[in-house]
Amino acid sequence: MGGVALLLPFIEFKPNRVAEGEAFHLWSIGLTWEPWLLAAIVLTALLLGLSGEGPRVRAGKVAVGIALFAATLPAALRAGLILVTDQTPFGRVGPVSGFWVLVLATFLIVEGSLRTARYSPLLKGAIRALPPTIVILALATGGLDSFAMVQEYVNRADRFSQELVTHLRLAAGAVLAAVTAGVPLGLLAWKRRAFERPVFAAVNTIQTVPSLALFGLMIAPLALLSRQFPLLRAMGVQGIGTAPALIALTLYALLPIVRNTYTSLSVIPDAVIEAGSGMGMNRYQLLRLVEAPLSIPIILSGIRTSVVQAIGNTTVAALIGAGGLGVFVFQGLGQAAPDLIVMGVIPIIVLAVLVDRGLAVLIALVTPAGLRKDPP
Amino acid sequence: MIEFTGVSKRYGDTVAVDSISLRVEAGEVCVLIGPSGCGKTTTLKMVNRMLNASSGVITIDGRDVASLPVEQLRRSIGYVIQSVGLLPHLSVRDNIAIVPRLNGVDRRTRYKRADELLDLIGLDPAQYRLKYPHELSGGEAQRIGVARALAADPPILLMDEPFGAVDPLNREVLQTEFLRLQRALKKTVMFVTHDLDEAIRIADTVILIKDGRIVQHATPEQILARPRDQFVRDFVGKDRALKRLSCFAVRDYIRQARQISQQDVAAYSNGEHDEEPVVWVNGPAGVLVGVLQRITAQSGAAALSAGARASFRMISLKPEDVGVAPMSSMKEALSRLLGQGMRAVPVLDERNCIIGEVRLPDIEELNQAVL
Repeated sequence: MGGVALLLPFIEFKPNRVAEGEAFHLWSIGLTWEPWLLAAIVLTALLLGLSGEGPRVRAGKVAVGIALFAATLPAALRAGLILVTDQTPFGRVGPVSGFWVLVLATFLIVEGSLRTARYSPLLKGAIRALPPTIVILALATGGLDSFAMVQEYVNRADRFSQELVTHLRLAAGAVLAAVTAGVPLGLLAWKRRAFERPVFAAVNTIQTVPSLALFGLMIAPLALLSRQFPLLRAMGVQGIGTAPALIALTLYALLPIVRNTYTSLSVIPDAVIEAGSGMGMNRYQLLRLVEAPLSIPIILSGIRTSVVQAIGNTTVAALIGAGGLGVFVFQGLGQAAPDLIVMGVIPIIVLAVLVDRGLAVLIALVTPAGLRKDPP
Repeated sequence: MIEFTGVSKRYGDTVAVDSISLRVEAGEVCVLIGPSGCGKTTTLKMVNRMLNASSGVITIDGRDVASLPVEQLRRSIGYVIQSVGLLPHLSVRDNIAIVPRLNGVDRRTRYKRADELLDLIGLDPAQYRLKYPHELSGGEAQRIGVARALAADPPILLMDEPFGAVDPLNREVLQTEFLRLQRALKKTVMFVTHDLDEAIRIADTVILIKDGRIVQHATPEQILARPRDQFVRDFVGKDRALKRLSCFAVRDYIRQARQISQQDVAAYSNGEHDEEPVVWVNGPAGVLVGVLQRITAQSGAAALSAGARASFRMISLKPEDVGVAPMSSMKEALSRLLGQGMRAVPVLDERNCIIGEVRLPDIEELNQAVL
């Protein structure tokens, strides 16, 4: 795959924001030694891939994967510097297929070897953190300034941080509200059989409504409410904006939380509860020593699903004027500026991945050793 | 001592337990048995108030269980259930030490106690203390369950079909171990089962329950020998005579065995012997190696001729195939007898040397009482 990547167009140059780009191959940009370095690394990776299994080969693959990334990015940087000159002040470069395929190759090599490796979770985490660190370094040193995406960001730095905060607040608020409502709902569904069906019918139905439609559905009733009750309007409840977005996002976030709370309780074997109370545990001890340790990891993984979902769904909230990173995505769509879309989407993905990994670590920490089938 | 006086349990209109009175003496193993749904488990669960009696009084050593705080009551009673119910997130030693933990015993003392109990139930503490329930076999988990019930050294054990989910082979091992433990610990045990063989094996007294009432309360031997009515007779089955043999230990029926050593076989064969005794042959170090068999003369004429001398030859035996131990039951002795087609089985010590023998007529005599 690396071999193919070397032949694909590597980088694209646009004289200004909306002009048609011109694609360059790695070899035709005017780079000196970088293409050869990349080719050498790809060749090494190929040889390693053919040399079978073993901890040494695996360590080699990880190193080569990281090296590939570490070499790809500077190559793109240098290409940017060469292509964007003083004659083209609005010029910008954007990575295209060749670049992305090389990044994908990095990912596959590193992840593929890490999956079966018996490294400590800490070491694995550190290795995985290396490529993002390289990117951050490149950004910090200004090396990526000629990149289109970065230029879009530089033009909107203030707006960006503002919308990022809005995005986070919307998602976090929705999940918090969903936890507050969802955990008790799950408990209720489990404790009282009569509630089980209606509760699940409701949250399942909500989940099937497309997000845009749900946002749309909020507009009319909330607008009506806000007109009827001045107090609500004073609190900022309107047909569009934050209030309907929060409500819709909360409703979406409910299902995984309710479902996992319910499941976490129903998978505790009756025998364990019977043994616990038969040995003389009171209600509180049963909760602390038996129910909580067994159910909390499952509830948390429900929250994890919810958060990741909410971060994604919040993007759509921009459409009803609630703000968030979706603003850039839809602006980009409107202006046919793909770089702007990417600028909005990448932070959303990064956010989702970060939160997902963070919660995964937390879940691993609260999962009692006896329940772990294999190390995380 | 556990005593029930007129205890009933009703669910609405259905009566699960109907005015039961019984007494389990201290140090006794009392087995509750009966068809499923007869109320035996309900009866058991009223002792530690997993269920509360609708009427009547249950006392432990004279104290009404209803008057004690329920948690305190339960912590003073060991409780073993069929599905074990080990806490999956706790290690074996934390599972065993859970009741001491509830009682506020410090960690060091708790873990020491857990190791003692692992020793007691015959599992190596070094190997097992840090395992988790999902790493245990069914039999191991059940043993840990018993150890857990014993952790706070309660005088009373309630066992609700504890070996019911274990395969037959392991069940017998667990029963033997339970008997060994019980001989050492002398707990007052109430034990629910639907397996008559299990009841006969481990019970001091058996209570047969039907439709929430006690049908017969007696020793296993009495129940088999003198079933009170048709229900009991049907319940114990047509093979009750055979089952009853499980109540008797070989050590009470050992007779002197005739034995010669291997070198003397030829000499013996040439001697005069009018009857047909069972003669065991010992090899080196007195270990059983075979039995003598009479060879009748080949031709009919020779056999008929008066004064024909019997000759013998030795048939090799494997001690572990034919012998029984003094602790074995008479049922096992009979099954060995039938299996080998002999009139006696040798009773062997641990080194496979003959202690004595058990004879068929003795077993038949034992059964006279039933038939």
